[in-house]
Parts: sequence; structure tokens; C-alpha cells
Amino acid sequence: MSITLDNNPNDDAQSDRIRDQQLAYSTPSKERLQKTSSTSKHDEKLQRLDKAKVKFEQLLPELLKEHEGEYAAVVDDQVEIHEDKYKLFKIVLEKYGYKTMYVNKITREKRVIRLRSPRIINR
Amino acid sequence: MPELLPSFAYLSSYDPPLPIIELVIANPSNQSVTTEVFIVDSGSDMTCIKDDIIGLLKLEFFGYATVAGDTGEEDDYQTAIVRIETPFGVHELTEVVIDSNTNENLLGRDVLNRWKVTLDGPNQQMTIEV
Repeated sequence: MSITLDNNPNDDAQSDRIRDQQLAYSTPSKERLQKTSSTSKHDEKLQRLDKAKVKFEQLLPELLKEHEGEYAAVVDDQVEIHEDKYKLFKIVLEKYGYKTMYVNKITREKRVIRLRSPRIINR
Repeated sequence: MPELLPSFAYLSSYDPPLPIIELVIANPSNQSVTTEVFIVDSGSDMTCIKDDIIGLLKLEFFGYATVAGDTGEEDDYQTAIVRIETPFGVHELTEVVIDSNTNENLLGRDVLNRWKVTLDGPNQQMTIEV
């Protein structure tokens, strides 16, 4: 399923403000630590990712009504939805090409993952 | 005659020695590939790559993963989609976490759970069956 988003300039300005707030209130230092490469292309990718994330979060209440448990990809002001994450990857790559996008599950719950078994540094 | 299983030597420079595996990571949209050593970590929910691979393979971002640290604090890490080529087959379009704070790649349970992995500590060998 594909949804076209309104690309209203005011909406973009609001998105930027929301994104800035989220960066400020969530994990600002980490967000910037992730930018280890100082290339502008890298920064552009991060901006596109953050912008798509904001769009997803704005749409989430509406998406939850009919698509809870499915996956959404926000790319180029379009939203693609599929129940299978792997199939969604295939669809968006075929339709939009390989580019930065934001993919997440349509859910009320926040998934927190664990990386790396704990290690002893000194003993 | 019993079939010999692919085995992988532990990395003895770690104390205690650590099971590792060498895998090919590729950009799913082109021919860019790199061969990387991965720590086999059943404590990791997802496979994780160090961030210099992003520039090397010109990978695009696909989202964020909220990662809980050892002390419970949470941080958002970018994710990417890669193709993972293993001695047992290719895993197309695998989402991996990008970690800018490490020099290690981790092979997590998202991939490990597709295999039967046997850790032979005394012989410092890991065998894998598919």
C-alpha cells in the first residue's frame, strides 16, 4: 500500500522544528557522535533520515488505526506499508531505488534492543 | 564416514578466547563488498557493524534502533540494510545496527538463530550447521 504525503512548506518547517526538538530532548550528543564522517553527503543522509522519522511519527496515530503491527517505510514523501518487513524492503528498493529512508513497525510499543554481551575491561 | 562440519577457530588474542567468523558484507544495490571479522555474540539481539563500513560500501540509512546499554541507558543508533554472504549462503537485505563507538562487528541472534552453532571451548573451535 502506498500513501502520498502533502509536501506543504509550513509542514516542512514544522517538521524541522519537531526534529530539532526531538534531537535536543532525546539524545543530542549521541546523534552527533554518530556523525563521525564529516562529509556533507553523510550529513545530508542523516537529515533525510531524521526528516523521514519525523514524518513517520506525525503519521503514526493515523497509521495505527488500520495498520497496527505492519511496517511502514517513509521515502520521498511517500509511505509504503506491508505486513512483512523483508518484503517491504524489497518493494521500496525496487520502487524507489537504494536511498536513505525511515522504516519502522507501526506499533504503540517502543522496541529496545540489546547489543553486545557485557565485557570485563579490567580485572 | 561422518560429514565434516565447517569449523572456525577462536580468536586467542582475547582473554578468554572468543568465537569469531569472517563474513562478506555487501551493499545490496551494487558490487561494493568488504570482508569483515565478526564476533559471534548470542547476547546481541541484532547484528552490528562499525561505522566505517558505511563510507566504505556507500550504505544508506534505513532507520533507527533504540539500544539499551549495560547500565540501562538508551541511545538511538542508525541502521542500514546490507547483504551478508556466509559460507552457508547469502542473507539478502539484512538490517544491521551501525555503531560508531566500536572497532568490532557483532554477529547477533538475528543471523545466528538461522544456524546450529556449537561452541567447542576446550578445542577453541566453533562449528556451524545450517
